[in-house]
Formats: sequence, structure tokens, C-alpha cells
Amino acid sequence: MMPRSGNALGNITYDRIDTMVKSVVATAAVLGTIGFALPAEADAQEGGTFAVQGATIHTVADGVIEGGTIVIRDGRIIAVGAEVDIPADAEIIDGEGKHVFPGMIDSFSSLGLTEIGAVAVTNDAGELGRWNPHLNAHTAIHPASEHIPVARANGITHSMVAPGGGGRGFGGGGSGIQGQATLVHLDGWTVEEMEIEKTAAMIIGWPTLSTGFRAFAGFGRPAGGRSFRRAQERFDEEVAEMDSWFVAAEHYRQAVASGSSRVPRNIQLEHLSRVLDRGMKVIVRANGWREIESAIEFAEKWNLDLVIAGGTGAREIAGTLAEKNIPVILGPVQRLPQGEDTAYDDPNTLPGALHEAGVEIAFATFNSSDSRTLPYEAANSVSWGLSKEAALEAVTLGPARLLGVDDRLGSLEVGKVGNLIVTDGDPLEITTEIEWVFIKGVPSDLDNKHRSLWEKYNGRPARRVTTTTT
Amino acid sequence: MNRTALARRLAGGVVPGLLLASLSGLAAPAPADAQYMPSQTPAPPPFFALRNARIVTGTGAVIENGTVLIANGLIEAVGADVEVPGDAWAIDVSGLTVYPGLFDGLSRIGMAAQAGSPGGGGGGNPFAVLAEQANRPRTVGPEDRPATNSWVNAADMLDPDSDEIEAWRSGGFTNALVAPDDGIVTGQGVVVNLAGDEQEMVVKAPAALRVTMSGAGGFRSFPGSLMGVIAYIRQLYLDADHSRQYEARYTANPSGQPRPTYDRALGPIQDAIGGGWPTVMPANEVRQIRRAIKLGRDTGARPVLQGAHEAYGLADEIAAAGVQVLVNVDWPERNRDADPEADESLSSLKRRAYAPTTPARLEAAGVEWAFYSGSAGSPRAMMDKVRTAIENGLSEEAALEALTAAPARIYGVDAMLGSVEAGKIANLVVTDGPLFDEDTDIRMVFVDGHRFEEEAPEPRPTEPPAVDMNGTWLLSLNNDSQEATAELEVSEDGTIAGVIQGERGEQRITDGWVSGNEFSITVSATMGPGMDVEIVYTGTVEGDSIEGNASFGGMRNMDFTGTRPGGGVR
Repeated sequence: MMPRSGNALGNITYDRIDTMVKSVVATAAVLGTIGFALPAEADAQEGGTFAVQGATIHTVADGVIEGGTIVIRDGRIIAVGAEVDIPADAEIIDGEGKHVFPGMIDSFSSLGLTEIGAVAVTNDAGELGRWNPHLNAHTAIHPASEHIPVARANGITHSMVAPGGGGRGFGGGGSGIQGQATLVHLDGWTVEEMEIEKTAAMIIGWPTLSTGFRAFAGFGRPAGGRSFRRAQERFDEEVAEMDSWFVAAEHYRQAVASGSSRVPRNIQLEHLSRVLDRGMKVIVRANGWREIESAIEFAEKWNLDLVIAGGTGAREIAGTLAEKNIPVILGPVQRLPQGEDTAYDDPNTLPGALHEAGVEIAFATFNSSDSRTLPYEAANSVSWGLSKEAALEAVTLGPARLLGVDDRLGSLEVGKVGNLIVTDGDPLEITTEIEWVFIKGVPSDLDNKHRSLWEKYNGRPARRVTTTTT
Repeated sequence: MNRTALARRLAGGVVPGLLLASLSGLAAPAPADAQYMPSQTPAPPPFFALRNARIVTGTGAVIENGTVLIANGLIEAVGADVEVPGDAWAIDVSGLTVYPGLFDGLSRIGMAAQAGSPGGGGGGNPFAVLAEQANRPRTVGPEDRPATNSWVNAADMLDPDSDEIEAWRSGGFTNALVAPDDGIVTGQGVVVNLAGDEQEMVVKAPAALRVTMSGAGGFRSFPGSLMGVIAYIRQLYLDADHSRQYEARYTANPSGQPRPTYDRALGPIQDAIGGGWPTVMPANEVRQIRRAIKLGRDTGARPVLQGAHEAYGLADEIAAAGVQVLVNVDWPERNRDADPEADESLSSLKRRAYAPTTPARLEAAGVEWAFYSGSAGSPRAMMDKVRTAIENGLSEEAALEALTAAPARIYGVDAMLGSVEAGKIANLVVTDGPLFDEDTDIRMVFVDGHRFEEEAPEPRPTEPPAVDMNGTWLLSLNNDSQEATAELEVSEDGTIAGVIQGERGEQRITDGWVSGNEFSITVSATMGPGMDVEIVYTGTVEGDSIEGNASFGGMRNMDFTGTRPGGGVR
């Protein structure tokens, strides 16, 4: 098999690929060994046997195998190693000079929820109200989002898609219960085909302790910052409000468990009560160390399976996070430092520092159109002290562990789902070309909007310049 | 019940005290048409159990260690030996006492401002008053029904978002009779719960008719005098009676008889008489009391005497007449701004001295009576004044009854309210001590079975003062927008006394302490006629400068800084 994509930088002729449907059907017809149907049937899409032979295999879980072979059958990895028998019916990809990695996971994105942030009708990430534990991103994911193939072409094979907070218009991103995140493969005609874990985690926006500047007067307060005392009061009030939801959820759970027939059904509390006693991951969006500390205290009170998302100020509380085994999903590291006198490289060195302290980290883009830049978040951190291995793990096995799916995803091990990428180099390098992406054990289409635009404008005829000589 | 409203508002979980008001500025305001907005307050199953409670049931019985079960907004069971069902959220209230929720016998708590209301005298803005009156037909005689707003119903005027509701509820008040207060006949009073939305608040509507006997006022010429008002009211009742009789006759045989004239003012008057609604009439002075009793006798209305500051001498007469009484707890006080050399009349002195004895006299005479807040602007002020009545001979049992079961009986809601008994509405107040003790704090309030939690007060720190706060301080509030002078005297143990003189006049320090370099000073300030607000200044001291925050009744906050030009005086 030939790679399904050329290397633009290497000036290899771009082979304008047909859709995945056509190519797979064509391949099946030629080989005559695999009964492919149209991918609209999920089972059929997972069928097939593929082998990448003679490649450098970065298993993440178990070191690097030079000249190794990996075999996928019916969606799963069935063999990895230097000496592997390739089944006779396998389609073989020549891995000479190539590298195989687990597909990357964007631990927190809005893929499929937000198409164009500024256009409200294409934005399904947020909902009105601050208390939406019963919402699930699963119901809103648009499988045909243009951002999904773009991310996929860069080696991102799955993502946790999370609802944002606070809806449209008011208080966006404020504190509250924002809803349930869903974990999906980045390929599929329907969200059911994409689904890995419909309910991966409950997303909570933690209150912010801030004396923040208010530009306008309102609600009986003057413009300008508020006193710290007020800020603290407000923070405490918001945490108390959050607590009241958990009291209610616990009450609801207890009442339902008692078998009482007179309990009115309440879907908000029904869903929220699932997080109690570590029944579901709780991903708390918090940045400052005080907010993180408050979230940890809260999680201990309610026995929550806590993950921090954001964590720009997690360095100050890294010891506690490590000790209590609380992972951190890091927001974009390619950003400005938080404070005027914060070290210029603070965002970049943060992942390395947390890793060093023993905190489990995962990278995420918190975005849809930028989801493709996930490898560069990790790459950037490598330049500032995080080891290459740790960086790779933080976009593969780390997030899989953090989301509780490391039994199925995150590394190249026998039995795991065939989500892998074949590259001509380190996927964290911008110049590396992703040549194959396997999702659920079948090659994915790497065509995407960016590529078609590139092709379109690359093929534009040179402008005729007429010069007049005198 | 409006399901949307129920979902939206009556979520009824733990609502920490002051939380709703303080968060309303930051939560997404629900758009008026947000019909499908999920509940923004948690709605746990509506089953609660208060365990290990001392229960003052309000029926005379006290259960020393009992349980109150609440289900679907009602009291499900009360007793020493009550099993808690599995779906109830058990709240251990050891050391706390459960009382029936308090009931303000007459107030405007939770009513929207009445500016522009029919027959109204208008708000504070004289131009608005003039403009409004210009639009009103001039009244020339009794047939125009001047200022007769009997058809106005307080249930249509509720403002569930009013800060007052939360303030009074936090003070233990779960119910009030609210009535319009504008006009000769102001309209129909309503028994409300102090929580919920416009519909949920209403317990009984109408529950009373209110008559003020004040003149029509403004530029309306009739009736302008007391005699005119009384003549008019008598005419009104005669007209109502005549209209009732004529309509009955006309309905029986309309043919050949002129049709009765439609008059929206008369129906409620007839209903009040026929339905036995209490008619609240002003009756502070002796002659007013006698007038109201007589008017009731002459018209068939069921008068409830409102005010009763001079009823101390008429208790037996009132008992004999069998009328009920609403006692204004806002006892008369000497005008603070009066010339200290000016003579005060004997009647005024007598009223000041004896008005607080009225409750004890009424209790002794066996009159059915209840307290109402009058101009006592806060529940704390009201309870202070109830204590005054207790000091003047009222029993605590009767005081509790006058704040619970008695108003419930007067307004005909005693099957639903007024005591901690199975089957009644779960309106409860949970305190950390005897209700009428000054140091008792309210820890929880239940309205319609929904729990509102009050924060336990922070105890005064024990650390001795590390700074000397004696002397005169100049305070600058809110970025210099206001100034005040604080004259402080600090005793050995850190207790602060003195006064704060500000733009709102002299504020007496009611509580204050300094501990370490931190201090807290509580003052009572008069913000307007009958509006007493508690202001708490808290902050830190460093040498001759202080800074901190002033909280106005828990609703507004201002930052302040201060200096002590004269230095310490110790």
C-alpha cells in the first residue's frame, strides 16, 4: 500500500485521494479478501487486518521497537514486536523509515461543538444557566465538523469533548456545573460510531477568587476592583452554592436508594449524584492555586474522583496534587504569563515542573479549530524541560489513564483499540508528516479542509505579468 | 401550580443565607421568556427530617427531644418518637429549637412599590404625584367612590425578588399579611409565605379588607376631613348593602326594572361582610378604637383594630365587643430631633409609657390579638420591641402566640399556619436558643418545606486587643464619597462603645470589639422614616489608621479608611 498522503514540503506530488469510502472499497475489491461494506455500518468499518512492517514502533507503554511490526485485526491490536507473524490476509504497509505511535488524545476540546466561535448558530458548547449537570456533549457533537478531519490529519485520533460553561450572553465560563463530557474517536459518520465513553466526566467550573477590575458600575457597586474581603466572601458564597447542589444530589441519591415511591424525578440531581463516591470523573476547571486547593478540599468532602483542568497556577500546589494523586489537564502553554512579573517562560516550564513534582499531566487545547495544535503544546514543553517521553505520554497514555480508558487506549499494546499513526518522524515536530491514521483499526481519510484549500491555492495559475519595455 | 415557576424557583434545597441576593448580580439573569431554563437552585426530594430538636409546637406543648418530618412542603409528623423515612434528608439539630415560623400581622413586605397604583397618593416625587393626579378624574362627591380601592388585591402586587423578603425571612418571619396601603379603602390583604414566586407566595387571597380612614388627599376635594371620611365610609357600606339587595331583586326579575350600575368598588365590601373577612381599621387612639368597634357594629363588618397603642385602658371593653386587635409593635418614642426644652404633652407621655403594656392588658383580658411590625424596619428591631412588651408584663407564651397562631386565626389560616403540627404548612424557624433572648440567633428557616440556612454568627475572637482604638476617628467611606466621625471608647476587654456621626445622623454603637488588630463595630442607623438598618464596620487597625468594610444590613457594602488626627487618648 502506498501512503495515502504525500509530503507537501518534500514536493511529492499530491495524490488527491478519493474519500475513504471509495479507497477502502477499492482496496477491498482488489484484494478480494475483505468483505467491506459501506462504513455506515459500524461493525464493518472496524473490520480488516492491517500490518505495519519494519517500522520504529513507539509503544509508549513498553519502550521503542526498532524494525518492528504491528498488526491490527478487526479494530484491535493483535500483535506488536520485532518478530511478528503477519496474517496472510493482512494489508501490509511498508514501515521502512517510518514511525508508529499511538494516536494522540486531546484531553479537553470542543470538537464538533464549536464550528466558528463567533457565529452563535455554529456554537453548541454552552448552555444557558449555571447548573447543567444533566447536559451531555454527546448529544450535540456534529460528526461532520470541518475541524475533526483537520485534527485527525495531525495525528489526533480521539478527544474528550466537553461542554463549556455559562451559555450565551451571560457569565460565559463562570462557575457552575457545565455538563458531561464525552470521549470520542475522531472518525465516524454518526456520534454513535465515534463514541468511546458517552459519559467520560462531569465538568465543573470552579469559582474564581478575584478582586478583578470591573469596567462598569452595576448592581449597586462602583466601577473598579472589589476589596479582597468582598472577593473572598463572594468566592465562599459561590462554593457554598456549589455545595448546596451536592447536598441535594446526595439527598436525591439516598432517597432513590431507599426505594421510596414518592420521590419526584429530577434529572439534574440524578446525573449529578453519579459523581458521588467516585462514580464518575469530575473535571474541575480551576487555575489559581487557591481555587485548586478549594476544589481539592471540596472533592475530599464529597469523595470525588477529581481532575483539574486549566491549572495555570498549579505549580504552587504541585506537591499536594502529586501527593493526592490528582491529575492536571493543562491548558494551552503557548500563552502569555499570568502576571506582570511572572517569569516569561512560566507557561512553558509549567508542564515540566508538574511532571517533575510527580503530577500526572495531560495536554489539551480547550478548543476545536486549534485541536490540531495539540502536539505542539507538548513539543513546546519539551523545549522547556519536559522530557520527550513524558510529553508524548501526556498526549497518549497519560490522558487515557486520567480518563480511565488506559485499558483500551493510549499505547500500542496487544488488545488495545487500533488507534495509531504512521509518521515519517516525531509527531511533536511541526515538519513531521502523518502518513496514516488508524482509528478503530481502519485507515482514516486524511483529506481535510486545510489540505483542500492548500491544493486549491497551490494549483492557482501563476499570474501573467506583462512588462512593457520602452 | 405553574410548573415552570415551580421548577425555576421553588427548588428548595439548602439556600445559604443571603446567597440569592448576593449572587443575583452575577448569575445569569433569567430572561422573562426562559420557560425551559432548568432550575438554577437545586431541587432535592422534598423530604426532610429535623432530628434531636427541641420543639416548641406553639400549641402549648414542648417536645424536649423530638423529630419534625417535612414532606412536600407540609409538616408530615411531629413527635418524640417519629421514624425517619429513607427518602428524608435528616438534619441533626441537637441543641437547637424549632418554632413555628413567625407571622407579621400587617405589613408591606414583598409588595412592589405602589407608585401609580389606582387611587394612590404617589411616591416621593412630587412631580410624579402631580402628573398622576392630573390624569385622575376629579371627584366631587361620594358617588365617585374617591380613593376606594377595595377591588385592589395585594396578591397582584407582590415582588418576590424584594430584598425585604429575604431580610425578614432571615429574621425568622415566614408569613405576613400584606395589604395595599393607599386610599380610604386600600384593598384586599393577602396572607403570604415569605419565599417563592408570585403564585407560590400566596397562602390565602383575599384574607382581609383594609380601611385607613385617611382623607382622599391630594387635590381631590372630597372627602378631605375626618367627618367627611367617616360619612363617606358609612355611605359606602349603605351603598354596598343597598346594591346587594337591589341586585338580588333585579336578578330574580330583571324585566321592568332599571339595571344595577356596575361598581367594582362595592363587590369586595359586600364579600367582606358576607364572607366574614376581617376589616382592618386604624385604631391607635381611644376614640379610633371606639369608632372602629361602633362602625363594625353598625355595618356588619368584622373590624380588626390596627395600632392599639391606647388600648391598654380599653382591654375589657374590646374583649366585651369581641373584636380582634393588631398591636403595632413600633412603640411610640420621643422624637429624636425634638427641642430638648420643648414640653411633651401628657397624652404623648402617657402613650409612650403605657403603649408597651397594651399586649399584657390584652392578654389578661382574653382578647384575640397579634403583633404587626408597623414601622419597625427589621425583624431584629421588631423582636427588640416585642421584648419591650415582655418587659412590660406580657408572657413569652402569649408573645409567641401573637407572632404565630393568633394572626393565623385572625386571618382564617390557622388550619395551615401558626403551629408545629402535622398537616400544616412547613413554615419553621430553628434557633440556637429561646426565641425572645437577645443573644439567640436564627440558624435555619423553612418556608413551604424549603430550607433556608442562616450562617452561624462568627464568635467574637478571644485574643486581647493589640492596639488602642480609643479616640476620635475620621472615616472616609466609598472612595471619599461619604465621611463620618467615630468616637470610640474601648474597655479593657476590647469592648467598643461610642457613637458614629455620619451623613445619616448619629449612629449608636450596639456592639463592638477589638481583638488583635482587628475590629468589628455594629451600629444601628436610621436610613429613613421607620427604617432602622444595622451597619457593621469591620477592619484592621494600624497605629492611627484603620481600614475595612462597612456592611449595610448585609445588602450593601462600602470600603472605608480612617485616620485619628488626635492620636490615642488612653
